[in-house]
Amino acid sequence: MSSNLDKKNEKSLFGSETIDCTRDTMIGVDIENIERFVSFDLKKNKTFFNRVYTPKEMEYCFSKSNPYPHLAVRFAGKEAVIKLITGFNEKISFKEIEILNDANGVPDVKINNKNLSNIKVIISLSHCGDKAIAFAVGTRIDNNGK
Amino acid sequence: MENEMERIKKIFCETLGVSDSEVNDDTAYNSLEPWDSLKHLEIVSNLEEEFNINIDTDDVIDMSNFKKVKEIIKKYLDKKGQ
Repeated sequence: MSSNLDKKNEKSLFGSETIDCTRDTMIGVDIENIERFVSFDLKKNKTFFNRVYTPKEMEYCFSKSNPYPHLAVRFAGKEAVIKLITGFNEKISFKEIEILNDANGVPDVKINNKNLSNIKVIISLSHCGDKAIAFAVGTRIDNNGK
Repeated sequence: MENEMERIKKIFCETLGVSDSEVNDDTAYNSLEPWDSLKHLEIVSNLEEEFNINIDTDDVIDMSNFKKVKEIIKKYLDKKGQ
């Protein structure tokens, strides 16, 4: 993460100075109560699911014996991403954000919006007990990939 | 249209689990306790199902208070009626 900050601020991560996130870096965080997702029914709330989750996300979540923590944490993840995208003064819908685990089980964010192709996002998810939490960092890169 | 406004309020209140008397035009997102981001999407989805419409992302974001919810749904209904 420190590689995304100005060099002058790198030491701030471990020092007493306040981190100065440049306009090229934004963060977002969200926490959700998992129990709120237990009441959702795939058939009864079909419109809701189709608005929030991609088909691959639903396939992943409902492959689990208890899909609700996975639904909740992905919702939190999307909220976190939306918050950082808003920080860049841009807009994005829930369904334009896809959060799936890579081969190592690490969550990966795909932004399906051509207008936001210059924003790279990394995310961390966690759920424990009745809570699901997500933290996302977004970096705007220039056309040279820097 | 009056009937449709009543339907909007019914869906809105039922989704949030609040009584009719707790909602007015000034009722705003995140000011009425149940109305957070998750409930907002439930409201949008339930309104879409009720009226068989598909609400754009910009309008979903723009629904910041109940008055705007009604105005936006009316816009879609008027468009449907054309």
